[in-house]
Amino acid sequence: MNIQNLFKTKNFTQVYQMNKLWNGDVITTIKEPKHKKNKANINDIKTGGIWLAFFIIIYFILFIKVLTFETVFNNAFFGFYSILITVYILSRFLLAYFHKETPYDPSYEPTVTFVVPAKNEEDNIAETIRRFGNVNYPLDKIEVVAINDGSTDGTYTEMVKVANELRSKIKTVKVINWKVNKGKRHGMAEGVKQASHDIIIFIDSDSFIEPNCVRHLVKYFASDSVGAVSGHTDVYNRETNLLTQMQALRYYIAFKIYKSAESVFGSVTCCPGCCSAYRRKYLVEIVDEWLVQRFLGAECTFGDDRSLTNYIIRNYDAVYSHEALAYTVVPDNFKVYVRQQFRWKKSWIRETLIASVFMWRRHPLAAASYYLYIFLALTSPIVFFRAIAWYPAVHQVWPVIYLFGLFLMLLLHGLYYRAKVGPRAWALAVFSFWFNSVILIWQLPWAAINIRDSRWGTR
Amino acid sequence: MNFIQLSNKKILFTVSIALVMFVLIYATFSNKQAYYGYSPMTDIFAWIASNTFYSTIYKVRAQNISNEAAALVFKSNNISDSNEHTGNAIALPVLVYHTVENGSESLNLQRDAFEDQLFALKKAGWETITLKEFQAFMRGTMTLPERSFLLTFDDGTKNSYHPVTPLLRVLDYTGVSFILPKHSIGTESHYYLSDHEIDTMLESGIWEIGSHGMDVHEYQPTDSKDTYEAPLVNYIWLENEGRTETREEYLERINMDLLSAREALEDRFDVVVSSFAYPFGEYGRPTDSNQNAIPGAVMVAERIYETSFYQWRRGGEFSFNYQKDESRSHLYKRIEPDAQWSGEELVQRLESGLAKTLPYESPRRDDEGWLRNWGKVSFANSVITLKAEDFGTGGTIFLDGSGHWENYTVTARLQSPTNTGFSLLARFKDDNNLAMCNFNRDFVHIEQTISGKQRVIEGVRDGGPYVPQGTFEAQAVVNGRTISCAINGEVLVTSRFLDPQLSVGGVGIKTWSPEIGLASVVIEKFTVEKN
Repeated sequence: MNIQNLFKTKNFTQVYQMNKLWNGDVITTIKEPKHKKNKANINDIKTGGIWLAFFIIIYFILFIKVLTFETVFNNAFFGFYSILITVYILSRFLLAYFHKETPYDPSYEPTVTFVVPAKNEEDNIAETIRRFGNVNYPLDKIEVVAINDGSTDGTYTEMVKVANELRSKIKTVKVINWKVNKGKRHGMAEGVKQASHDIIIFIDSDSFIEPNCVRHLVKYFASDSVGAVSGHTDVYNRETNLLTQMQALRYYIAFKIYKSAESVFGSVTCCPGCCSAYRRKYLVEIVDEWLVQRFLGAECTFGDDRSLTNYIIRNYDAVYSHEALAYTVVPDNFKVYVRQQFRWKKSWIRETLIASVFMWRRHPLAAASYYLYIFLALTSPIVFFRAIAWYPAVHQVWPVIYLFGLFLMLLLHGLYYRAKVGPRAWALAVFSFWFNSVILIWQLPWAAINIRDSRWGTR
Repeated sequence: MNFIQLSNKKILFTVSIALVMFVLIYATFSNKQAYYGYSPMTDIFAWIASNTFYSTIYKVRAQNISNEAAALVFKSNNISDSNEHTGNAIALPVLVYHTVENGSESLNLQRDAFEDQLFALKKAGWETITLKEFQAFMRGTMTLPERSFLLTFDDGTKNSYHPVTPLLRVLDYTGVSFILPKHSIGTESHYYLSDHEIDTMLESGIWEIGSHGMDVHEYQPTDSKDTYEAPLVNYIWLENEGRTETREEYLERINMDLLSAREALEDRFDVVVSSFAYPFGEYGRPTDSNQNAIPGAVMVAERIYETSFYQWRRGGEFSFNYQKDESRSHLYKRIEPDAQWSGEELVQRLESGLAKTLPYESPRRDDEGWLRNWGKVSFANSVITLKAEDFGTGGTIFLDGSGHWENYTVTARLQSPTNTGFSLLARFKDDNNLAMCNFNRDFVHIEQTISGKQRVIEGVRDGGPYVPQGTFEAQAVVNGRTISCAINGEVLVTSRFLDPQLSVGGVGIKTWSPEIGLASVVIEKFTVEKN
């Protein structure tokens, strides 16, 4: 263990902690460095207020459910939906709250390969790769494989340049150059083939890892049941516009609440390509099958990360590591964003259908949440349509309760974000999140219809 | 393999939050039941929002009024004498409302119109009394200020309570709500008050409740051809037996109905329910809309309730209820304000129904309380013109607020342009109980109508013409049971045998002719003086 790297600045304080691992050993660890708290009181009160508002919103949501419980009997399907979706969402918060804290174990340090497939990413690729040399991990255990997948810009040049820089720190830095584009799956598969270390970390060509990312990704692999670990990815270009702020909120919630809830039972269904780690031994068992995956007669191009995770969780666990931090660049243009969402929905539909075949074998609560989520996702557009269009047309009432309920749910997420992350333009982000959810609710049925269209749309 | 950490701290936190949530939701839910019953959420939020909003507005308005009221004596257009109407009440009006809607397009009473009416009443000095005070006053055991009234609401709907209570609170008014036990006890209506709400209502100290009947508030068929009528005042059709009910069955049925309504309310709410409001305001007197109404309801109601209320027909009798009237010691009339009346209009009508003091002179300006039974009346050109309708034979008007006058002389300076006969009504109780001096060219009669039966009790003929051309003075003098009729000061006929029931009464004018559309009389001056 490299102690010198830990004493970086004066503000860090060190605490030693005795921990009992899940395999019974007792180890001494260095607790994560913390900043000294400045202006503790004002911010604490504000945050306390936000948490109070958070629980007040839960109270309102529950109260509305109790009241509209009477109407459950009026219309079983929609009443049931209303109760189920509340149960689902609140259970996510609850599960995420009870997720185990896993400390870093300095006695377990496997070798690691970074795999970065890239196409036309000359602006970001250098920084992405450069950061591999700045990690808080023994550099002699790291190797890098970068694949230039038929770029038409200066990506390859950038790669070669930064690779040269990096070789002063990291022994093996391979740059694979493909003149013709083969597709991301092929890039990732090539990385797996070229890798010789135990743990493979996939990083997107526009993602930037934090120094502690590696250690927090690999720590879970100490247990043999773990096949994949998802890092926590935040939005790098958060400040650009309202769209990126909204996505920042969405990413944060999706990871901290939803992925965390899945992770409690080791059933994370998507370790995202921007920052995830896999055990190479398990990967090679399935990578060939994954590469040539076909669905409804068409070749699968997108949804590579979700698909790969689903192959792993058939037999192994996939977990989420909230301390493994990385940043990624998100679309700041609405059209590009919509196409990305459309693509994600298509891959979701495909992968979810496939995974539902074996998900029942996993922990009952994980399976129940999974199948419940499918039910809710498929019925939401129907409920939405009925509440916004059909019911008002027939009964001439505004869908006040429905929209208000929807708004409360999203406000709940927004308050959580605000409480955890601090004052940002979160209110506006919540509103635009609400707005976008409402606008994009049609995408799921549309995606189902267009599922065989394997065009990427963006990138 | 799972990654869950059930630390004690976290479990404790989660359980405490869950407990707090449970308690809060339970408390809110019970409160909601108590205050709003089973109304839909949107209605509840609408009420809470609008009540909070309006309460603040009302407080401001009420403050303005009490600032003005300190120096205010009601100044109306036609009462120039500010010494009138500052004593004790002789007669009381009862107002009845049904629902108050908010911003609907219908012709029903809207919230702003209702506010306008009540604020105008308060500003003019009108205060509410409780049902008990009303009953005591009518028995003669209580005095009340002149401008007192009883405020009632029928049907026990949510709309007669939620939009109303904040206003009552601010104005310091009380109300009586006539409940339909069938719709309010043990039901989950979105329209009628639930029993929880009525509990809360009674606890507030602002409301009393009365009975509005059990099944008699719904129209039922009265024959085999599906004619529907009010079952309290009609014999209903017995489907099983293929006939209408007999009178005994009718009396038994309505007796059971009124009794069970009272018992249901008293059992559930633990209060004495001594008053009854006739559904549709009908107690069995034939009306335009219900020619076949039968008597009997009053007799039955009388045995079960201390007071019963019907709706005043805006003619035919005084609008207020007079004290100590033995013939009607439990049957009282209520004025139903129009949804379209402004506050001033309502106040105007109540002012003109107030017991008037003697001496009295008319015409004043506009409408000071002359109520029309039939015919056409106009007050243009500072005279009272009373005519028959184009296809009618005559007309009658009487003066509201004159029902308590005892011994007086009515003097009218008038002329009949068509030389038709006219009458001075000298003891008017209602259009079925009155005494008059009937002046014609060929005869002068003293006529008396008791319970609708008219008789001439004294008269003179063969000495005419009794009615001169042009303008002249006609007089009717009443003293106890004596009534005399005079023209230009000369007494023409006298009787000492007025029915004892007509020992007090009001005044009016009638004109009649057997020829269609001819009868008319123009009154230049009409005075009533104490003897």
